[in-house]
Amino acid sequence: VTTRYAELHCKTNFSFLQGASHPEELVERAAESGYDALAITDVASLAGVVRAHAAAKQHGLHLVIGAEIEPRDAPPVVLWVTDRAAYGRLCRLITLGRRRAPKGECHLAWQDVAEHAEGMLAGVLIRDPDREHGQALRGYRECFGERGSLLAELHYGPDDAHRLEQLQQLARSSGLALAAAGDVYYHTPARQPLQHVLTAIRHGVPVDRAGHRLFSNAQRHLKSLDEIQAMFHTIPEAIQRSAEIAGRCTFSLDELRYEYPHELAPAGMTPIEYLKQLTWQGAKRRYPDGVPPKVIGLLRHELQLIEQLHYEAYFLTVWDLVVFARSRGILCQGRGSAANSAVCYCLEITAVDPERMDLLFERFISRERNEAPDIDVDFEHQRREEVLQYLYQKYGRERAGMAAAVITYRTRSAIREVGKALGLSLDRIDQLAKNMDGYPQQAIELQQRCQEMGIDTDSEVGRRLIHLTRELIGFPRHLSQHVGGMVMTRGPLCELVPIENAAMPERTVVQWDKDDLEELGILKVDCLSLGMLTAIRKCFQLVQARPAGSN
Amino acid sequence: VDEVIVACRPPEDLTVQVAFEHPVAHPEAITAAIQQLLAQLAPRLIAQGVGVLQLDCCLLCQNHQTREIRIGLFQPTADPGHLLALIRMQLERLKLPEPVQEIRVAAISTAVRSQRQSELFADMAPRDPVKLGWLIERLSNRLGPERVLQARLQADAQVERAYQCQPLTGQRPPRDACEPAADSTAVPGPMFRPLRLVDPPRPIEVVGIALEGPPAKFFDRGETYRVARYFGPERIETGWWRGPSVRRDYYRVDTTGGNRLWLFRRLQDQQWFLHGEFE
Repeated sequence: VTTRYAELHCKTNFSFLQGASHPEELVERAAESGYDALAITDVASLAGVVRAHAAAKQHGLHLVIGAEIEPRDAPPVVLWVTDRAAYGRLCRLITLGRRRAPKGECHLAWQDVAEHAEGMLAGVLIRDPDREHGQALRGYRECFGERGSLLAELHYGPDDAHRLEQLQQLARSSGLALAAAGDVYYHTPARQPLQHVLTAIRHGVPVDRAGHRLFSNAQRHLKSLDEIQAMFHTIPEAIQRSAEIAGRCTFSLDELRYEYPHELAPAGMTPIEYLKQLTWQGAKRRYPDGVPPKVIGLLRHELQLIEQLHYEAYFLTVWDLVVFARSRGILCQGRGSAANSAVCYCLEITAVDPERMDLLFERFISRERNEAPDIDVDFEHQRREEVLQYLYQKYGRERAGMAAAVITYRTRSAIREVGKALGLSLDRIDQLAKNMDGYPQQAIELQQRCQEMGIDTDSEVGRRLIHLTRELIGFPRHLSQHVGGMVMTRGPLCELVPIENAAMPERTVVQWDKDDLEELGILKVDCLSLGMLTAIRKCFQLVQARPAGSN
Repeated sequence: VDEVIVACRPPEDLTVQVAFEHPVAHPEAITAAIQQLLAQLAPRLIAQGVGVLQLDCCLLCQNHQTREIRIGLFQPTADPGHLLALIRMQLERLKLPEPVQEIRVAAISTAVRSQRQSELFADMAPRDPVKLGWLIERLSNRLGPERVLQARLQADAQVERAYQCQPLTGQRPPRDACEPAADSTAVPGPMFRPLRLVDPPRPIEVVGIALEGPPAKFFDRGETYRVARYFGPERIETGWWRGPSVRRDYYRVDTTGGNRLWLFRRLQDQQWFLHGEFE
């Protein structure tokens, strides 16, 4: 009989400076190892789940969505969502904690967890079973009932047998059943050095001074089913419980059906009716001497395609923005793949006359590709903020947010941080970092650059530096704001994706970047700022200020 | 990244010296000269509020040979009498090849002195820590600083690196070497580490039930031990930044003879070692 096991406690590198594997790597390894399921449980974050979701679909693995939450007044807990409603509550809970805290932190209390607990399963983490936990565990038991578990995590510590006995004791006295888990930080033990380096970076010390802040062995990886069975052979029911928990979490990110904001069309009209009306009205304005037959044909065709693919709301949203900008005298211009359409011309989003241009609309929107249409709108850079504030005002902060940009380690930042962690001198690190740029194409390139800087790449330190730097390149390091991608929803945005504070005051970002949003088919409108438009407006003003005919 | 640049000021040179018109060979005369030098040095130390941790006394002999006396202290001091007593201990044992032409006394390492109000009635002061310090200093200077040591904990998963022995004299008080662990389970309690380590770990021959399982019986220096109980394995995989990783599975075993020993299997080659004995 083969073991059935689901890993329920696993961090990706979106738990910044903690997890040492990409979500895709973890999913792939879990699938290869024959796991029933894998839960992605980053620390107060869902930033890595979309990538994991895409990979899980590819590998046919059941993915469980969850997060690790550390209430300040209770033991930490891993939460897993069973359905769409519970997923919304988890997003809301993370948003609550993130919005309260400075960027990168999450402040939650036990009471917050309890208020959002419905529909979630919980695995309580007791890292020091010697201490008194009776009250906290009773709290979890009362709140989650049989949906609560106590996680048994073993890593070949000083006395696993004793620890397991203590956990069993706690399970009996609290009424929470034991579930086996791995507290996974990387997919393979080979990532231990990188995880140590990340820990050292997080604490701002070199690795050789990080002491007990480093894990003392490489056991935080996705273990083989045989190893899992051997580790928990005294409590097979805990392994079974893990598989059961995963089985109850049937929620998939595919269920997130994106819903466009409802206020796009006036009452009594569907968005597509309204879009058709606006388009034909616009066509009359654009062609006062009669709409050319070619354009009529184009408009009919495009509107049909838009209706089939349900993109009407997207066009209406962009139209709304442009109308707002015009009403304020803000110069704007649409561009991007879907912009060169007859519909956009008639809606006055763009100024490219389709009669004189021959562009195939399907090049940009096609049924087969099923990709979101893309219209970027440029605004005068000094006045773009007005447009963003208009969006926040119209949809409310509850329903509008800015897409994240995942800032990743590039060669320069990676070699700097790895160099510091390995204890290289600061001027040596500076010299190295200054001569690195971007992402090197090949391993050889990085090695050559290092050699040019006088690093002996055959020495142990040199080899470690290059190996670890290469691994760190591409790792996410924090979430920043996208240059202008705004997300608007019908229901509360914070039930679709957690929202957190950006570094800029009064700005918030969702935990997903543009690729994540696209993967799930979520509408994003790019409101970009363009300095040249400001220059053009100033030019207009100068022209107007001069009386006609004067030099 | 901004780096804070702290200006380094050269420490005031705390050196005093005397050159003799006629070379001196008599120990009493040399001692008297050193005493005078220390008396010159003391007010300068006091003015800076520091005391000596390490002091060099360099004797330049006629044929350009030199003899050096280095004393280390447990507590920084500026007391010339105390310093002289320590120098004397070594001077007594020193054989001078030639008469001495020049003597140089230099404070190599200093630290802020702990201030203590001098008492009107000297006997009433609680002097025990000071006396202990004197004992340590006399022992260190008699036996050599490397023979009077103190063990300190180091935060390191590799057990032979989890402590460090340092000379007690000539050292500045250390900053806290053990930083707190992020995860309270990361620091193994005293139950799990033996007080006595075998240094270096001694290879032993082990008979186990399974290839990668716990030990059942082992042989060490001609003796056979049978394992009555074992705890473990505790796996240590660390130290990759120092060279090849240390990878071991540790077992605490109770033998039928009543010993509690600490064994490990090296994971690279399955070789067993005895690494410690529990009290």
